[in-house]
Amino acid sequence: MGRGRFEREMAAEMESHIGERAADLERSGMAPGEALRLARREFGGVMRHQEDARESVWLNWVDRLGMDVRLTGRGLLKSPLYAGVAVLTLALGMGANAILFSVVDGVVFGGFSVSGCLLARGGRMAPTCERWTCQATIPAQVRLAENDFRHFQGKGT
Amino acid sequence: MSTPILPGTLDLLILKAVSLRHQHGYGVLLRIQQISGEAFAIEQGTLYPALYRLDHQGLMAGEWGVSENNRRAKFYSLTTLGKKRLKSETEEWGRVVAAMSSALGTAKA
Repeated sequence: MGRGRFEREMAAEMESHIGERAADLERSGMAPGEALRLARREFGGVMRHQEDARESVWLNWVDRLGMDVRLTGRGLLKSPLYAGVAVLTLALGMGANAILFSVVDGVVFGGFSVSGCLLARGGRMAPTCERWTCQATIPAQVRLAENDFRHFQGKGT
Repeated sequence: MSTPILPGTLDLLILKAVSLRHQHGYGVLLRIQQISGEAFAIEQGTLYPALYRLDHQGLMAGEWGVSENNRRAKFYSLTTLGKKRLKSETEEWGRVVAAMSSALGTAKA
């Protein structure tokens, strides 16, 4: 059931309940306005009960999820070969991804010292070049690189 | 003199009340008061978190209908699972009560 529908139905149900109670009170001789007021008071804070209802539904969902997770865990433990293959596949996939990312990251974003220094010397600077791994042996080169970087950041020379 | 209801017992009372005949929220409340001899003080709104919990656990099923006062209301009835749960919980409750009475009775003596 969608969240919107749940909220609407819950509100409708609670109002209906209060109405039924008011109707009973009226039948026993109470004035309509008074009956409704008493019915509301007897019901208690509608907002609070709605919160409690939402929470109990949520807790129920979490419980069911927990049970499913535990069931799955037990199932996996029972067939270790299947679990092992699954873990290996995931590990290989994630590892390959990580390696590829770090390679691309190094090449494109000047993580390698040589290309970083060259960029600075040429007066052009890769905007995302935040890590100056440029460990040039010539101090002048390093200073030039730092100045460029600071200028780009707007901090002046 | 009404006593506040013990947590957990409300669910069982709701299952019992609904087992007799399908009912809407207010009707369930009335029936609980009836079958328990007005022994419990139940704040009316606290019924709904319990109703929804039992519904989501698959013990009850709700269906919109029209009440005797011509008002739209959601009517609840027990599912097969609900009937089984009511039976087992009632037996369990009987055991607990017997054990407690015995323990407390012995303590008094």
